[in-house]
Amino acid sequence: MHIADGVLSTSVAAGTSAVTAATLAYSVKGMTEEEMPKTSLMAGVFFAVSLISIPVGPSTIHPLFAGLLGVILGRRAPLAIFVGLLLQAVLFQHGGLTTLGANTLMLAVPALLSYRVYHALTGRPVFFRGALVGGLSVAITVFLLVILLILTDMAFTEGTFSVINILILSHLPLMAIEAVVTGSALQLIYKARPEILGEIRDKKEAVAKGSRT
Amino acid sequence: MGGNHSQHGSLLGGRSGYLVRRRPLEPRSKLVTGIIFVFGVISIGEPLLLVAAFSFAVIFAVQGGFTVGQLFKKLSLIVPFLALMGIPLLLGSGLPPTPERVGLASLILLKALTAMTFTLYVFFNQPVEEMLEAMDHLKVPPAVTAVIYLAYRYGFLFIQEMQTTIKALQARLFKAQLSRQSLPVYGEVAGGLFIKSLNRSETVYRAMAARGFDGKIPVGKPRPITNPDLAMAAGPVIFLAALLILEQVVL
Repeated sequence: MHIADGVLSTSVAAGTSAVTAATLAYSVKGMTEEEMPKTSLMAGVFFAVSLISIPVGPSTIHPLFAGLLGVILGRRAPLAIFVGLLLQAVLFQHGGLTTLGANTLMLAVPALLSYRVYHALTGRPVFFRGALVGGLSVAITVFLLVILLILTDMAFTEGTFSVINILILSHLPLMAIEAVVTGSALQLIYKARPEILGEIRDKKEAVAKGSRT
Repeated sequence: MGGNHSQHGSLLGGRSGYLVRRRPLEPRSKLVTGIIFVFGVISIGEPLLLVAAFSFAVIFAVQGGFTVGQLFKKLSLIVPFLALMGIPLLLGSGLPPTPERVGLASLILLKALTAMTFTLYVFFNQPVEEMLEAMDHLKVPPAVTAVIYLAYRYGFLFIQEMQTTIKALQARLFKAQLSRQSLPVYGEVAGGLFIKSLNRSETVYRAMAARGFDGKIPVGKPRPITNPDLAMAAGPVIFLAALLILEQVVL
């Protein structure tokens, strides 16, 4: 979901830009040289995977991957999301400069929460945790989008086929899609490179447990 | 990052700044003017003034190197996003749409087109290295500019890799559709791309560290801001200020 320039009021655009600047300061703080290529390349992938389009009815949608990025990058995720969205806005005209703050915030908040939720549920199956954070991240993104639109103009809420009702309805299939896609992606990463997810100890323990039985 | 910019590509596929007949605007001035202009435009609330701002942005973009065709082709990419907001906004309370709803939808459309036109002007004909140098000289944290630079360099490689993977899947009769079978495949394509990029990031880091990378991409000295640069950069800001004053005082 990308909000185009002009949709948000000046106060909302300026406010979200300021909050995003603070989030980026948190994300950049203490960043080591070694983390820079990792964050950059993750931003590059985030930028590239937005071109995956899944047919839904007459249209197509693409997964947001905020949850996936959050689980992999933790506190560095807002920076990668900001850079990915900046490139999408400049190169593909998805989003805009005045809404870059809002678009970043809508994905950075679920990404940071996804990291917490995923690691809080250690011991549960990876697919389950991945699907949970995938679905949850879409729900949080839509929730934040609705709040920003309400703060901009109540006209977005009026009528049966209001902008907000349409947005919520159109994102319901994305929640399910994102859950399955994120769950499958994290399961593959866990099998191939568990240390990326900070799970090397868990996997070694599981292997040791398996060999004992 | 500094040095021979003309060897590198420019953002938005424009011609290299050195090949353009007219001397391009100094990148720092261009970036600051662009940000002021787009934020200013979204605070205008009169459709007529927005039409004036849009016309101004189109003229500025065309004199900056865009052809009208190129510009409108780029602008057409934002139509689906605007339709998602605009159509329910117009028809949300039934037919016919009320004048207030038509007014709000037109404002959104005009603001979006004007802001995007000026954004395109800012990044068109602009080598990415010069834009990042400008950001660095405007005191953007080095970590942010380094991440943008590397993400830009590798983003297109990942797009190519993803397209190759999708072609390989299609060659194996994979059908892109919303189904229980295909969704995990999409997940594994994305997961595989993330793993590849992490593997590559480790190689990139080792190569950068071997070349003395200390957390900051080296940048050249900024090009001096000349009087013609200042005059060119002040134009849009003065025009915008005039529109805002007109809105407050006259309309």
